[in-house]
Amino acid sequence: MTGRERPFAELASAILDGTPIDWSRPESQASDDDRQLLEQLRLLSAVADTHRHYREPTASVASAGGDDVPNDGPHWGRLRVLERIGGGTGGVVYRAWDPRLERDVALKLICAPSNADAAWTAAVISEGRHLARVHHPGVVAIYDAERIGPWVGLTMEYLRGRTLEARLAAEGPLPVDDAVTAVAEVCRALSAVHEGGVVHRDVKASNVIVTTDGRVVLIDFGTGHMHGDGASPPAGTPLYLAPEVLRGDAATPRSDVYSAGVLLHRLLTGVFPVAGASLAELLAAHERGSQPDVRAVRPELSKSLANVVKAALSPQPDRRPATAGDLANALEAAARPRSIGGQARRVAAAAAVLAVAVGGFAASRAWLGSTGRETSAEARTPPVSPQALAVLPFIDLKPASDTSYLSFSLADALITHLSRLGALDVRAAAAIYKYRGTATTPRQVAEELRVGRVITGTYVGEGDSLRVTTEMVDAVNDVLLYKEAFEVSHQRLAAVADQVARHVVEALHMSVSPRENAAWQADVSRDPVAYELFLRGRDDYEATRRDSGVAFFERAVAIEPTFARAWAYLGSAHAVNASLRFGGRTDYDRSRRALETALRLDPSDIVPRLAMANVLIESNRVEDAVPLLRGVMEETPRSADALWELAYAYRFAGLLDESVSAGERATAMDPFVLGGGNIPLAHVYKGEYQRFLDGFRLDSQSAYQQFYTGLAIYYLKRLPEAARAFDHAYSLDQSMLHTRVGKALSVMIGGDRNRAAHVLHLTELESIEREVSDAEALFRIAEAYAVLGDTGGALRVLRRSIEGGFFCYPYLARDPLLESIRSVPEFQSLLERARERHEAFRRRFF
Amino acid sequence: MTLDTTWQLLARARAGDLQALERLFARHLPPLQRWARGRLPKWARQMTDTDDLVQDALAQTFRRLDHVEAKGVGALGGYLRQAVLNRIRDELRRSGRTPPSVDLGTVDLAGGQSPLEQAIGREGVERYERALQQLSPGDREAIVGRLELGYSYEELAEALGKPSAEAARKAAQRALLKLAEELRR
Repeated sequence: MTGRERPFAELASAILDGTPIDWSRPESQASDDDRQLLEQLRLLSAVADTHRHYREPTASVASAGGDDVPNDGPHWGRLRVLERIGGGTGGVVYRAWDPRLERDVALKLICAPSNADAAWTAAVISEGRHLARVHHPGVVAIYDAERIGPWVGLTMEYLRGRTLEARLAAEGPLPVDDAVTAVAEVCRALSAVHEGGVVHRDVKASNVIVTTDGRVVLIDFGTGHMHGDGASPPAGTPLYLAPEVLRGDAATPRSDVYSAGVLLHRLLTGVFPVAGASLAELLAAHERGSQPDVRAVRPELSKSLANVVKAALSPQPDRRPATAGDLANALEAAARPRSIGGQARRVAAAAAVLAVAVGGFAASRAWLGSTGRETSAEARTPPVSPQALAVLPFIDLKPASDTSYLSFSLADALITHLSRLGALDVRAAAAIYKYRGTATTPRQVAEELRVGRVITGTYVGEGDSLRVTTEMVDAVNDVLLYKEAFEVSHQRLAAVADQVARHVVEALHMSVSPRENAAWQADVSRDPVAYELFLRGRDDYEATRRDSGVAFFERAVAIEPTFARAWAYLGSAHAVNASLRFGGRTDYDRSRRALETALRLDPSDIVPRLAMANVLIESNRVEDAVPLLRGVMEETPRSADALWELAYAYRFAGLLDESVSAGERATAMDPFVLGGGNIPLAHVYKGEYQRFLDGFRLDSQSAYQQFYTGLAIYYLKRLPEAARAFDHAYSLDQSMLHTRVGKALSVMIGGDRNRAAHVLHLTELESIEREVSDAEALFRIAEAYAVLGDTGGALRVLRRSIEGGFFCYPYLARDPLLESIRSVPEFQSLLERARERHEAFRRRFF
Repeated sequence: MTLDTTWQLLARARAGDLQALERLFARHLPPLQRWARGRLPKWARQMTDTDDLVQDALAQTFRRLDHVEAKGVGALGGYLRQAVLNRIRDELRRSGRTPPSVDLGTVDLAGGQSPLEQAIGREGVERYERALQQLSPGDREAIVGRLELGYSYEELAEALGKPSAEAARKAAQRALLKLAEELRR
């Protein structure tokens, strides 16, 4: 580089790096030629400054030195910072306003340590993004993670409520039910976080908020770290930390389980299980092996609950419950027997409410993700079917072991096996998942599921083998029908269902046809590794850990490409994702491919046929779904699931009486059809709003159901009440198309039409972006546009809906919400098209 | 920490790897959104969904990945920016806010000055754009990446296919001087 070039190179660097430049010096020394070049560099410097200004709109934040927080600069990116609401670990939390999404958010600003490198920032942001993928009502929703200047900002859901710490301070130790419920819910949330690959590391009373509407929410992930990140120094509050973490080991999901144990101990007693005035004292107390007994402080607690607390607080990580979910199950089981008044009622209510009704297969499955907490309307009690059979999840006699996934999946395998017998009426797996980890008697279950017979089982892993016991009782007459115990090797897990099924057949004096026998044989001869992966996938799937379930199913079919059932559930999982994730075409395509493989391998299996029917209905092929479903009904007349799905198909096609009738027959046949069972939505389309609401077993935690309750109430013109239901639905799940439409309606009820139109417009854009093909969901957008008086929007989306397969003519013809567009000629022509397809459908199928 | 190159990510996204697609978004969306803010006149920036439009454009582009080919360094960056501008142009036309005759490809949006125009004048912007077009694609990408999008030198190295941040810094420096020379012509 020559002497002339060097100063220019330095200037270029300064321009590129945004370093302040004193132009007077080079200009005073420059030749005429150089001066021309300098002028151009000044122009480029202005270009750079302009762009930098727009990249870093929070110059006041970025330039603040030390640990100052942006109290002078009221903005962070697009957020308007409103007030400081607290200091968390390593950062400050503000309430802020997001003008784009028009909502309050919580903003946590973490200042990069002075020695922070790119890896630090990347780690914090990456963690934020991982957490953003965790969707659980018990986990604060993370919207965004971004670095501006020395600050990394995490944008989160803004929660109204108070922390458990505040409650402890105000009221002292909690009632047992409250403490157990809160910690069990914290554990469910932790479980979701762990599945997302993050360890919380700071579970404590001040990091759990009970919101004003009763949600228990885990907050403050400021110290969370990805699994396997052992290099970080211990963070979190020492009194809550597991002894191994205090000693410097990496935090793990099991150290979070320990912290949850400390939280429980503290809520029950007001004190910490192991205490010390300094870190050294605390470590010494752990070294002495202090083993707290919660009953020393609170003697009225049951021994079983005390044992659960003790296990969670075990100094050896491998003696603690293996997962947070296991701790939650153990807590619920331990609390149940001694508080018939509170907890038991709650569980019984939950059992009665896994309600489903409104959507078809996929939506039904989706709802299983939220266990109900209360019934808002008394459900009509259907009669018990003495011949019907329920299989309970097996009880793991060694709960901390790695075999916990077998609890549900063995029962599920047995249900599948028994369902292959056309003569037997077996409750679906989806209806029994909720009993996993609960201490229920066969009589209670028979009562709740309206069945006469119940099969229960236990197992314990011993070395390479599994010891299984099962029994079947006639719950109506209180007679033991059979009981047996046997041992199988882990290599032969598939034999468990077969062996039990053969005993059931014998006890019931039934026979097995050669065809049924062949199907059984195929089930048993699976590759053992593929079969185990499948069982793990089933457990995850039913626990709504669908992504992990998908991974297991994919591995299973990779090992054994002819494993039809694994393909079937792989397809079902994608179908559910399609509905949950705004009905994306990608998920539908994946679903269809997997289901086609499943059906090619085993055309007789019901699972893929029902899922396929659902995919067909939601992708404009309802006419193909009907023969498929009727075929299932012919072979298996007792399939309430197929009948329910038919009701869904008829609804799309506008055969409302037929839809109501099929839906009602399905619930009469199996009150827990598709895991819930409920009153058909077609009632709403017929204008029978109150009848729909009266028959609805509402699950207060299901966003989908809350939305449809809101809609029925809206039709009844009880607007403020409808707005509350829509808002609740939206607060439960903001990622669903339905809840966003509900939000728009609620905003409109509140009087802000512009904002409502804006929300709706964004929803429509997203539906285009994701190629939403669920035509009934699209219809909800069209309806809302019509209510807002946006004729263009209403017609635009209505066209997509009707052409996309929602030709529910009688409803379209009378829907009061479409009043504003009824006289437009284009509406008439769309209506006419719906009528033609509706009538062709009726002629073809009735 | 090893960085997958954008082209590796693209290849994986094309094969259906959702994680790769997410990482592509994470990498390209925020800088493009910020860039669009600096390139649009105020009234257009006030359209509340500008950020969404950028996201939308990116999603569509990634979906059409089969048609995007690696034409050398910087091809993708330019392609993405063009896609964003096209999308914004479509949207503005659709909402009837700008006459369809205006050529938005040169970022000359009618009806208001962009921040860049306010800073260096319309004539300055035109000269800058013209000079930029005279550079080689690699130099152009270095300028746009560092000066406009604010890439770190690590990111720039990745975008330019340079072995190190230091090499990227040198490349950007050289490109800036070449651009100044072009501007003087």
